[in-house]
Parts: sequence; C-alpha cells; structure tokens
Amino acid sequence: MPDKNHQIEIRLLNEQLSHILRGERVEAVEAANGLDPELKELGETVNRLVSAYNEMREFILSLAQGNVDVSPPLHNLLASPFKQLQASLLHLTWQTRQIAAGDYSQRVYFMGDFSTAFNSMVEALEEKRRTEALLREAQAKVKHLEGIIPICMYCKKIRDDMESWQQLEQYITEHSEALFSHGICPECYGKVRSDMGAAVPGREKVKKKP
Amino acid sequence: MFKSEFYRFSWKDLGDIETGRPNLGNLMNVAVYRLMQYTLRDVLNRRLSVEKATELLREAGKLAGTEFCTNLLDRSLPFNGFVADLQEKLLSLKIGVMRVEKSDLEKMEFILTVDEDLDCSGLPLADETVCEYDEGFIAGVLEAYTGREFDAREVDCWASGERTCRFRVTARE
Repeated sequence: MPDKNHQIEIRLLNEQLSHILRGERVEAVEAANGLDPELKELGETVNRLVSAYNEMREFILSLAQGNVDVSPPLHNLLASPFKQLQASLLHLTWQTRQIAAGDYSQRVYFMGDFSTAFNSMVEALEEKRRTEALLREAQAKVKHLEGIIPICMYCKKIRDDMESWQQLEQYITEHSEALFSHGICPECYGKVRSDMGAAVPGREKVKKKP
Repeated sequence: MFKSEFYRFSWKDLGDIETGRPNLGNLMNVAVYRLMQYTLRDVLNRRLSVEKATELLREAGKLAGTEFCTNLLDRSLPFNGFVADLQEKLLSLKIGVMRVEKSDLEKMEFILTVDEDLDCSGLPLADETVCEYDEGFIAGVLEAYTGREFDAREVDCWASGERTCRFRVTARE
C-alpha cells in the first residue's frame, strides 16, 4: 500500500498530464521529500516535459496568431517540427516580399502542393509582366494623332508645330504609321475629265486575252 | 603537388571525374562523405583540440564556399537572382535545400536555413551544433559575391534537435 506522499505525487502527476492532454498551460510541481527514487525521477521527467510543453505551446499559439517572427524555443525537441514550420513560413514571407518587389526569380521547393501552387503563381505573374512589357513596347511604336489639327479650309494643308503648312498626306505620314496610295475617285475623275474636254482617256476595262 | 607545403587548392584539382570514373560515375553515398568529415574531425579533435578542429573545419568550409561561388555561381546577378542561383545549385548538387528567412541588404544581415543538409541531417542528437564547415561555406560564398568579410553562425542544427539548420549571417565591420 503506497504511503500518502506517494498517492499525492501520483495524483499531481496525473493532473499535470491531464492538463497537457487538454492543451492547457501546466505548472511544474516540486517533488515532496522522502519519495521513492523512481517516483521522484518520474516527477522530474514530467516536470521537464511540462517545461518543454509550455514553451512549445506558447510558440505554436503565437505562430497560429500570425506572429511568424516569434522567437523559437532553443533546444526543445518537442517544438522542432513547429520550428521547421516556422522556417517555412518565414521563407514564404521573404519570398512573397521579393515577388511584391518585382523579383520573380525565386522558387519554392519541397513544400508539397503549396510549392506547385506558389511557383505557378510566380510563373503566371512573370508571364503577365512579360506580356505587359511587350504591350508597352508595341504601344510606344504606335504614333497617335490626337487633339485639334489646324487645317486650311480651302487647300486642306495642315499647319504643323513649326508654324509651316504641310500637305495633308505628308503630315499624316509623319505623324502616324499610315501610308498613302494615290488614286482618283469617280466624282473627281468626272470633274477632271470634263475640265480637260474629255481629253482624258476613258477607264475602260481591259479585256483579258483568251 | 598536393603534398607540397606550397600547395593551394584550385578548382581544377577536383579532376576530370567523367574520365576517371567511367563506370562508377559522379555520385556516391552521403554516408561516405560524412565518413570522411567525421573521421577527420575525430583525428583533428584528438591531435589538436576541439576548438582548433572547429576553426580548421570552418576555414576549409570558407575556402570551399569561395571556390564554389567563383567557379559555379553567376556573381554578376543582383542579390535576389544570385540567391536563386545559389539555391538551385545547392539543390541540383544535392547539398541541401537552402531557404532565405530574412535579408537586410543595408546591414548585410541574413538568416538562412538548410533542410536535408549534407553534413548533419539525420545525425544522432548531441545537443550541439556541428555544421562549422557549412558556416564557413556560407561565409565564403557571400564573401566571394560581395567582396566583404562575413561571419556565419549556426543557431539551430539537426544535431541539436532541430529539423532545420538555421544560420545567422552578418558582414564584418
């Protein structure tokens, strides 16, 4: 039959372990004097567990609240998987900052589906940037004619920035990507022909030779 | 040449492995690399001292890092591109999975982690950091890239019970 001190010690150890199972903070318990050495050793081990558990609990709670920069516990094997998780989160935070600053050369490795999703996102952003750069380049090449253009109401010459008058074709050619191909419209053709006393030859279709 | 007191390492001393090992090739077991490193440490510890052995391993790592950077990395890249290049080379050569946690380019301070480290991942727990060679290697790479002297110190190590090796790197004043 164990003595009263032993019963108390076992009850306290049981309470400590129950707190851990409930995810609560646990207090270390000082072993009473005169305990059986094996029970005393068990008490000391549980206290070490309690200390490591409390450290780990504070750490993971802080991480869960988004405080990625929290100082990790040192030499705490219980917390080491969470420290690995923190290392990954810190690295992803760094990566995201680089991407926000326009650096798409980074890649994430060995983080499962996250790596695939993250790297796809970075590649898509890089592709978008490349396309935008191409568009900007193309836009820079295109000349625009905008605003009010002063034009002679009789001869249709245009006054340029240097206050000199240019032929309409010359002005548009210089200020746009358009080129002119000269021809004659039916109305002008009739007018020109009558002005010249029908000296201008008719626009007869040339029959193709068989 | 190798046994001359005037010998200085040069990248070409790594030899023509393709010609020299036409059947066995360029790969070997990680344990063999560790066998060399930890037996060397054993002898250095006993013949010199732990402190001296640590210092020598770090110094050798630094030389390796400098040569690695000079011969395999593109030093003309901006910092982020250089890091990506370093990360990719360490990965393709199966040295480890390096990740940057923090970088302050003004102060020249960095925190790097290495997962699946060639030197230590999987070692028995010893409650101590053991990657002095890596410390030197990282400092050497950054020195060759920036032209400034660096100190790299391992704050977490597989051997001290962590799953990730973490290095705090600072430029010397």
